[in-house]
Amino acid sequence: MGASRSLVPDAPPTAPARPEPPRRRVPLWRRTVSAVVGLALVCAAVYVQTYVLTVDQRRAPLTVSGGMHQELRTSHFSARLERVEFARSVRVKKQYGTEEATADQVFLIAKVGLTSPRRPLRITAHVITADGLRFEPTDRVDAGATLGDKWIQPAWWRSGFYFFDLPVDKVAGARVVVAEPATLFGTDYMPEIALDPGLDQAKARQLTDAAKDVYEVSG
Amino acid sequence: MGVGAAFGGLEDAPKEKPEQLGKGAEVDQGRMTTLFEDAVVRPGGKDGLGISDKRYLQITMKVTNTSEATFIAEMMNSALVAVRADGKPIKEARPSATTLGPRVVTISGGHTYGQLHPGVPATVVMAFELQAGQQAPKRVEIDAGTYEWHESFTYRTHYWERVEEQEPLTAEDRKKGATASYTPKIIAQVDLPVRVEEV
Amino acid sequence: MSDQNPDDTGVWSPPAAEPSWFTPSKRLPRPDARVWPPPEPEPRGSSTVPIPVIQDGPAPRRQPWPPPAPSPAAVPAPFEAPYPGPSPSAPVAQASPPAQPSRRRRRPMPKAVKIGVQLAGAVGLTAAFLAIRGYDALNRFEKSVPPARVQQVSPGQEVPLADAKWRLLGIAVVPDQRPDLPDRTMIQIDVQATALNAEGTRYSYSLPGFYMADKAGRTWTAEPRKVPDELSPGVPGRFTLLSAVPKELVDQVELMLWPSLYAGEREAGPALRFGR
Repeated sequence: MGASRSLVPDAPPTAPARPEPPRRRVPLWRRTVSAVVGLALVCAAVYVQTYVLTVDQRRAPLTVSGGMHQELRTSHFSARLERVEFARSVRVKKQYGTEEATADQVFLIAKVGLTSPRRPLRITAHVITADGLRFEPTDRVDAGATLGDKWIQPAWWRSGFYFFDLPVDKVAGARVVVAEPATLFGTDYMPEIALDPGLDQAKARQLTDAAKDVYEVSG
Repeated sequence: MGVGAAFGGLEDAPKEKPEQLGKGAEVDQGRMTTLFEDAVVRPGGKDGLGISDKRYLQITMKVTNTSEATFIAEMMNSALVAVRADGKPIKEARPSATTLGPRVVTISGGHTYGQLHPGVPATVVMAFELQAGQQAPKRVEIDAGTYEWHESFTYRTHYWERVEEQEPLTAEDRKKGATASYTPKIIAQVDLPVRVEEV
Repeated sequence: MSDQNPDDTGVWSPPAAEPSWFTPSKRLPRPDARVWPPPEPEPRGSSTVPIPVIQDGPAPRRQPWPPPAPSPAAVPAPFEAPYPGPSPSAPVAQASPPAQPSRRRRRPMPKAVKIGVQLAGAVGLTAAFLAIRGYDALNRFEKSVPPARVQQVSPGQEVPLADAKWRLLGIAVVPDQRPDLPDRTMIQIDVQATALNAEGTRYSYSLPGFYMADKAGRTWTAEPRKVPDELSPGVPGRFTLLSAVPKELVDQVELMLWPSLYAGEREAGPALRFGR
């Protein structure tokens, strides 16, 4: 074997030169299929990118929804809607004197119970109407009389009010949403709880027509 | 790029002249529609605005929030970019730190509040305090800006933003080392006569 | 692949004991070469290949003769200069026999194995990508919200934290409880702060974050009821706090102290936890 090796260079020039390892010719149809598959993979990769959440989507809250008296839980806090009432004005009784607030339209008064599983929190609320408008709690009623001003703590439920000044025709289908206050630049994947009082047209009409003139709360 | 160059650059588009309007005009500012009702000089105290031994120039508007969420009345401070009284600016597009801006409130039932709820028209008053002995102006001219639902270039987030236009650099900007200068776009100029109301 | 090799004459068919795919295999067929009569030795000086330098000292290492049966990895060199010694057919001295570059082609992997390897690579790369992204996100989050570093303080001890020394003076149940809230108990907590420097005097107006915590990690607010009007370095000041905690935990809750309200809200950075 070793001897034959040294003979190789002496091979007569007419000996057929061993070609490079032969390239097997890939048939055209297979090349086409490979190209199509490759393109499809590239397209799929681009398409999958459309499922990447945008910043707006990531900052949109994760909503837990439920109806009256239902205890709804998120990892940050729990809530239940205890009562929904309507009034034309709210009288806040304070230690010294009272403060009266009159609605521009009608006050939706939501009595909400809140608790937190782990640490003290402040929870704000807003109303989302059936057509998607967002109403912040009215500033006509002193904030001290609302639940937004109180600490929500572990181990017990805290009940209180949120007041919204809504046009009468926006009451039907309105939901009360409670969440932690938004931060300046937004936080990803924050929970919120949407509480649906189940106000259809008829019930909304009935309740707003029967709105109290004065609703008294202590602040 | 080539197209931009061929048409003489992107920055030289002629500026639209703002609409010239008067009392009672309504302006759609993107985020709100504003009906300019009145301009009055009166002592403070009415509707819980100001104190009675001072005089105020009050511009009264009917503002309807056409966006999808509640915002505060102070927003009108930036929506109305500049205000001039008899040609003299009393509120500037680029306010200096030394002057406190006007107070902007909503008024209802003799109280001042601060919110504009979506779709609900509200009376908004922009109040400028007049110095003791200062003459009441004859006319005020208000520059109304406009808002758009803006998409941020970097993060693709969306928010309301006042529309701004690039303008040529001033000598002062150059001194500060600015490379571009923006001013709010003015879509309408409203000229209001000023009434004087004594107590 | 090589099964369809058109150049394969069949003469050099693979040996019966076929090695597996990862061992070298079938030797390549070689062109015919004259074996007999032996070729004329090349005339001296006709070689274009440099003659190996023979150095002084130990003789160059020679391959043993007969050469060991070539291990599977030992590959026939494509070209070797004949050793210009007396025997033209003598084996060539090789400095490092198996290091010759290989022209041999491996048998291709079976398709299933190849796809498996590719899949494993793809999965591995994806995992690495996700891991790096997650690590980066965590890193950035921890830059804005540093992880809590809670130092346990044994009873009565005074411990420095952020420009002041802190000591828990005592926790007592408030005598007049609210009868309408029977499930919770008001407690009063007294804390002593001693500013270590001028910076530390800020605690009289910029309050630290006080919380009561139970063993499970739940916390309750502890609102300052009395705060020293003024702190000066080295002079102890007394904070009196009120906190409502569940009745059954009155003897267990411990005071937690964060250097600022903001840090306390986010539970970020260094903190003290006073044992009882």
